[in-house]
Amino acid sequence: MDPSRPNRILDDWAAVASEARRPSSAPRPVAVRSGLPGATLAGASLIVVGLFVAGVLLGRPGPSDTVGTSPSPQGPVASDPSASPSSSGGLCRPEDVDARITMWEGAAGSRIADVELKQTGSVPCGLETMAIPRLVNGHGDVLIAGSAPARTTTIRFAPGEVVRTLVRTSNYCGPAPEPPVTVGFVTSYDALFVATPPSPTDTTLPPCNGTPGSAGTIEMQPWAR
Amino acid sequence: MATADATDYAYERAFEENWSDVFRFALAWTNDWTSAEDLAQDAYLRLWNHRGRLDWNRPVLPWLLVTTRRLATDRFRTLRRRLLSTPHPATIDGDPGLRARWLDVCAAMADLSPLERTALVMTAIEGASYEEAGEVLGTTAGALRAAVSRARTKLENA
Repeated sequence: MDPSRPNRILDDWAAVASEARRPSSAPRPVAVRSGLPGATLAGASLIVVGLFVAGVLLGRPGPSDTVGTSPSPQGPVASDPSASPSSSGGLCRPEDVDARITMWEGAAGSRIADVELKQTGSVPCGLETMAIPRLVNGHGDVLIAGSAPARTTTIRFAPGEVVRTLVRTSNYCGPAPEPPVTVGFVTSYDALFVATPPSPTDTTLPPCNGTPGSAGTIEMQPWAR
Repeated sequence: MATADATDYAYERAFEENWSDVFRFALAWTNDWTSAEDLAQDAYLRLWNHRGRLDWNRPVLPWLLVTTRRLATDRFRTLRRRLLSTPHPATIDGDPGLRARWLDVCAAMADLSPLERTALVMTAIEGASYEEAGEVLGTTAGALRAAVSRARTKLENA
């Protein structure tokens, strides 16, 4: 036991931390992410118009934060930080929903995840019925990536409401993944809903139907009540 | 237009005056330099998003620290960032000497929980009272005293 050791460590911690360099400029959100799958200028314009309409229709109020007090529970703190502020106006954000895999079903050459999505916010939000599904491992690495949907609609998703979907995935021929394996859904505005897996150690994977290293597939049905 | 200019200015000032505090808080919580930089950036993006609704006459730092803590405890935040963003090197990677010193400190603090580490840093280094730290950390002064005591014991016995 060394009673002086905590103070020495704290002194070192303070000295090292004080050398952190502030970024040259204050962070500002990017208006439109260049990495949107298949995004074109026209597509981006449509997204912006769509988001505006959704925002007006849904009339989502913002949190009434006050500097000097704790942010409200519905404050900004749990949403996807990488999404731009304009990209989620009225549309469901990750902190508005709770996704979970209720069970995995076996099928010939495939595995099907029953996924439940509950609206946990306090005001209605707009939910896109289709998204880009992904199978991911416990590190967030994408094991199988789906395609952008050809079309999607936006439904009104009220607090407490639950919708469900089935996600079918096939042909995983990669190495054994880090648990837990789960599914995620990327919206058109780059929000990501990651489902809680059935267990922290779940490694449900579709069987490899092809040659080692061949690409897998993953697709979802529209979210429905 | 005048309002936007005023809040822009207030935001810039909050960045200049408080970024170091926010970063150190995030560093204490995560014990990870890269994550702390990301958290600080995300906290300021939150502030930017809400700058028009804030009372800028009151101190902004408590809001930033609470926001940082909540971002840090968002269980899927790390997963989302890994899926959606390109990993970037921490600024410390460009300074081998500083990086080596940080790794020593990081290892020494690794056995502490985020709450123990942050409570210890806030009270022993930043000079916050247990009550002030408790408001930011969402717990009581008594719980923080216990956390600080545990932290010191762990460091003594390490």
